[in-house]
Amino acid sequence: MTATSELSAQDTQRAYARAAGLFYLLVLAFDIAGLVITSSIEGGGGFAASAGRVGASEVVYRLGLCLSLLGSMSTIPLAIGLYVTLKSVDGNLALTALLFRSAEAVIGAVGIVGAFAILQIYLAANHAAAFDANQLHALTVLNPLAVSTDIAAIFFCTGSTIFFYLFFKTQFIPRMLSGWGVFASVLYLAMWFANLVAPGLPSLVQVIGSIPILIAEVGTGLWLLIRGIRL
Amino acid sequence: MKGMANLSAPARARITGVVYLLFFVTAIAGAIVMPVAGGPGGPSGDAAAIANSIIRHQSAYEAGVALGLFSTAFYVALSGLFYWLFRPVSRTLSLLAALFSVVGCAVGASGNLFLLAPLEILGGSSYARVFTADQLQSLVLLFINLNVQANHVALVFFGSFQLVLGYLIFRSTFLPRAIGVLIAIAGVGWLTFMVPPISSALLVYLEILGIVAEGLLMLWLLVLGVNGRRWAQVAGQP
Repeated sequence: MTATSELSAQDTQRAYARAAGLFYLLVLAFDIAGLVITSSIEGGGGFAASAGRVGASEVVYRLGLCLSLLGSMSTIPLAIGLYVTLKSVDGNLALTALLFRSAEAVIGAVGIVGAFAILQIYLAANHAAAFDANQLHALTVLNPLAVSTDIAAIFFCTGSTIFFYLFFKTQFIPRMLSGWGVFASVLYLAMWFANLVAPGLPSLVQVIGSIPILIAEVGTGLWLLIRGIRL
Repeated sequence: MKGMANLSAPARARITGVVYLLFFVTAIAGAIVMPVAGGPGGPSGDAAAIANSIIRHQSAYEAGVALGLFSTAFYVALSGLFYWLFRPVSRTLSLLAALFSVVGCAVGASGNLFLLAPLEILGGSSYARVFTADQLQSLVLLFINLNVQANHVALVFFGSFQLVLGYLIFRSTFLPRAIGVLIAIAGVGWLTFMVPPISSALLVYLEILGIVAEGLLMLWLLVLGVNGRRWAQVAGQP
């Protein structure tokens, strides 16, 4: 490899690392905005009240679901950016992580399909339908989004652990940040596995368990976007 | 496999065209035999009419689902073939396009599962007897609508795929730039499925644009292949 082509390869690697930083933040922004919008409209107070609020704010609710879809789509360029940045460290592991994150995108997207179905059920509750309110409520309990979130999170954590491990093997970003990323990803993985084995983890535990990975992702995203990688 | 690896770029491009044609044939045949419209436009008619149509034309319905799965399988193969064809232009963007496409295929294939549910619901299983006829018909409509939603979500991924593919064709020099522009515009069209009021209003135009753009690319690959000399130049081969 000549000096010029090596420089060009490093420039490409730096550019993709910055793109990965941007997509880290975009994925988080889309996912969080989507979740906040849909859950704030659904709110509490039982199925009939939720259905009434969703019916009254259908367009905003749909916007929330579309933001979640954008989050799922943005996972792919994020994973590609991280793959190109880290394949020089270990190509096979980077490819494995890329596939885990792609599987996460598939499962997330299928979950959003289910969420659109739940929207149909909410809307059906606002006018005469073949099912009464209790039966429609029972159908929403089968929400595939809830289950797919658990499964997608496990694929996300596995991919994220591998990517942060690959960062840890290098000096691309501070080791404190990549080490924290490995720890946070494993912790998050354990939390979601626990939720599958013994469903009904208190929401406070879920929130606390999400904070370390949130810090790791925001920190890494900002670092990659602003400082780039050190080669 | 070794024989495939030794094929020239124009020959591989023609194989890509053949697989593209098989995708078109199975997708169109599936849509024709299917007694219930499951495409982007969604089903027409009320729940009772749709349920009765499925019962009366069960074999055609099952054939439609099977053909839909075959067309998805051909598109997965197509994603791999496009990756190989455009890898010399940009390895990373080709990989990005392939992943968008494969994710779209996976979402579309999962949507086909929802089309199998009405057969179970209307099949007279013992657990389905706890529902009234109205309720069973409504459940059938719900699953058909779920398939439509899955198609919409899949189309958003295919839109992203076509946008990147269009750019790769435009940059390639071994395929006409005009086809790249058309494919990219069609990709933008599929992205409007994120905003249902826009996609509903433009549905007919989006479908025509999509068929023309992909049909042209398929025909070009099938009949003319790619410019082998230019492909080799881009790939850095002597």
